[in-house]
Amino acid sequence: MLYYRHDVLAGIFNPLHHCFGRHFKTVEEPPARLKHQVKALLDAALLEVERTVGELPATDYLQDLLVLRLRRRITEILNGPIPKPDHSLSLLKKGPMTILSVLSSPTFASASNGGKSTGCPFEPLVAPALMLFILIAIGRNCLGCRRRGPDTITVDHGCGGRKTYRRDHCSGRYRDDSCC
Amino acid sequence: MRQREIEAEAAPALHDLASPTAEVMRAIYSHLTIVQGLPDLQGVYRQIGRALGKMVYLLD
Repeated sequence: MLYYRHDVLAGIFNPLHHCFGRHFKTVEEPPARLKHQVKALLDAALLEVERTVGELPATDYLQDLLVLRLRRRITEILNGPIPKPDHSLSLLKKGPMTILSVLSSPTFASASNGGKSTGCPFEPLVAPALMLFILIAIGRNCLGCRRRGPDTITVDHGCGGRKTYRRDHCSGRYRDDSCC
Repeated sequence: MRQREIEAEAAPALHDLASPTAEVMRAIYSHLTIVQGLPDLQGVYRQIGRALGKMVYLLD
């Protein structure tokens, strides 16, 4: 992007271009147009590869490597990555409520006990207690972020010594960021 | 060095920007035929290497 620019001044004030260049900024190519140009050149290059590969012996390993894999890779890059199926990590990223619903489900509870009920009277309270614990942790964290106060404070320690403390946005506490 | 010279130009064309990478890949593929013992295919491999080098730069 940085190097591929359309200089509007170059065609008008070409002899004086370098005199005015620092006063008038050049205009960058619109991304859509640049992408179109890249795609056109890529297609041309791919066609050249396919044509040349056709001259190779049929058993040459480059046949498969260049034609099939390159075409797939180019399609991926230009049209975006191929979506992957949901897995456990993506489930975690969806938020705590998804995990909580899984944890509090009867299937999870019975599976965690090996499929058998232990007969413990507190067993139904485990999932709600866990949910409550997590909600309290989230709530405390959010409240901490909302604490008001100046970003920095300067404290006079006497004898001309002053220190500036910076506020941690989540804990609300002031910390000394100076190195010594 | 050549790449830097082209990139330093006022408005370089994409084709010119990709040419140093294309030349490097051309040389590598040319040498590949020597390694493989296929000197007859040197011309074809050179063309493939040049086109691939251009594609590598553009894709990047």
